[in-house]
Amino acid sequence: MNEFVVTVNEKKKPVNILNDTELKIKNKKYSYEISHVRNNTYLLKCGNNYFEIVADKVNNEHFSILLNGYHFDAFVRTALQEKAIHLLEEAQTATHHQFEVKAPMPGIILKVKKQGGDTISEGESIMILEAMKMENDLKAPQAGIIKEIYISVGNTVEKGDKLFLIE
Amino acid sequence: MFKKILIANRGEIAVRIIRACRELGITSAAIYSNADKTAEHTKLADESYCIGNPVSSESYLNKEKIIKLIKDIGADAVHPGYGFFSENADFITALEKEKITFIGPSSKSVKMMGNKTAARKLMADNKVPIIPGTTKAISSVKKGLQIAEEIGYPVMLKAAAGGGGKGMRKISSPDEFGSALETTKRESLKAFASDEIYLEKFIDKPKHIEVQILGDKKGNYVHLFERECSIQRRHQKIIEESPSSFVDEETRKKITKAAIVATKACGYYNAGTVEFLMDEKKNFYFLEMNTRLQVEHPVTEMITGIDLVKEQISIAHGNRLSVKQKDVKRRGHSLECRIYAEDPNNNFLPSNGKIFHYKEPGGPGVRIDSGVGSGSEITMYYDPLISKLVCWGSNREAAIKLMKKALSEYQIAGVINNIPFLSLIIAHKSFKSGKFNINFLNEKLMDSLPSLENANGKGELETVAAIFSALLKHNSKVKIIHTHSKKINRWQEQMYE
Repeated sequence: MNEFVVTVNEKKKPVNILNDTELKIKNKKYSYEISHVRNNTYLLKCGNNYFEIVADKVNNEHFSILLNGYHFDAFVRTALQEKAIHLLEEAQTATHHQFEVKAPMPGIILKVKKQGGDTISEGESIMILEAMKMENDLKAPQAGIIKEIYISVGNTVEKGDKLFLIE
Repeated sequence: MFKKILIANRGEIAVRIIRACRELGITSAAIYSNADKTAEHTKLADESYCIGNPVSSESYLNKEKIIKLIKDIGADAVHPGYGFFSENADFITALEKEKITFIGPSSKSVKMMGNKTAARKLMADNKVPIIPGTTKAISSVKKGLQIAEEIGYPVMLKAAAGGGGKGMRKISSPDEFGSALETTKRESLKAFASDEIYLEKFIDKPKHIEVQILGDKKGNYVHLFERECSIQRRHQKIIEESPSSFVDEETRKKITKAAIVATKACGYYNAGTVEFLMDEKKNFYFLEMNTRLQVEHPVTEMITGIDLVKEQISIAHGNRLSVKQKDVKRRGHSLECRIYAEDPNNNFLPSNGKIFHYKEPGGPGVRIDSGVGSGSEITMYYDPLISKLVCWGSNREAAIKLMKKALSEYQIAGVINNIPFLSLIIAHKSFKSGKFNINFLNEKLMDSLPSLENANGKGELETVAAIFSALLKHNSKVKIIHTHSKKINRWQEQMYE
């Protein structure tokens, strides 16, 4: 398998590696050459440009990348994996219409304004998350009924932790 | 001189103070929490003591434990840095009782300036201009509405125990008043353990100008000119400079004089900063006094050549100031960029994680005050400040050019950081011309951030990042040239012959 789907900043880019020196993104062909300089440092020649890249493998799918001063979190899947996950998600939303809201940042839950079973409208404040002494209002991304709340007041949460489930 | 100083802080400022102690031949004792076992300040100090769990209240803000430690290890003075205990009158009082020297002002001065309403009254009594508003806490919504009506909207609600941009809110019309007062009170109670809120007129398009002062225990005072800190996000500074390009000689004379009056009024000794807002007509108003060392103190050190931390230690020991006003000269221009682990594209949310690669810029005129290195962890427990990048040039233009170069050399991998964002600010025409105020980021930059980034090639870099990741994932089949080969090429051989 030489076809990958890479997600960078929520944008999906299909990368098709043709051979040792060429690859394709959609219909655009790029020539490439990659060298491992030391530890986390790589040199990538892409077309006629050289890029020094510092990268670390967070897990099998996730790379943390520093490139020209910018930090990128890149998530790589093979085209096949991507397709399978996509189909699975579609099947889930078709049957359940459930939506999990996750913590946008690490912090402490200061206040929970709703409880399981409450009907909520889009944009309604559900809970307050405190991070760096700032109160952040967490709002409902869609209207529905709160199916479950996974946390309670005083809990410490990490970024990406499940907070509540809307149906 | 002191024999041993305990540094009740962490991060870059602890490192800064340890360095000053080392130069003065004083033993430095660091404290660290369980989250800071491998932190730079822990490694650098002559002695390091674990103080408890990562949560500040159990470590860097654990008064009893810290005071017991000071006595146990025989430290004769404490440097609080900024934040944590630096402006905590209870902590200072406790030290005073134990006859341990606090490298800072007396608890009395801190109290006088700590309550913003009392400080406003003190300033008004001493004819230092204050922003129109109350010098007492608002007793009720009704009373507040009445005062707001008198001074005219928009108005600002501020926590009397607050400061540093926390616990404040703008109100544009009477119907927002009730709920805004409630939220500000709640935030203030949580952050400062007081729900006293006062009201002042909203100053449109102000610049933030502050004056650095030094005072000793014998009643001598000097000012070290002004700093401009108008580039702020969430009311917190990210770029500071000295001198301000907006302040002319006449205004400088007036504002530094007012700052000295303010400092004398609270019987102050130590390094301190009097903050002002300056409107478009160069009228200035007292904002607050920071009775401690400021984050941005290096820009003043760069233009005056005076080491503020060493001066603080000397003052605390009872020495006279090392300089007289007539000998304080400034030279050139200095800029500071605060390097934060945060995401400017996502409301400046802190970014936590391990820094797996760290490389600082260098060259003449570049100074970095940092508390991290490769392998350091940025955690949710503390402020996400990584370092401060300070540049000095013979004039503002030269300092900006140097900063631009230094930012481009700085490599921090593993956490989202604001280096590309800072580069965009210093390249902005409004920044270069000096025509900006404290609303600059919100009004001039944030909306156009994505397009500015793309003009800077961020879109292309995303593609490169995607290509790179796919190649790495596929690396079993892709030819990666490993350059640590044993063969030395001819040219290198000749170089080292």
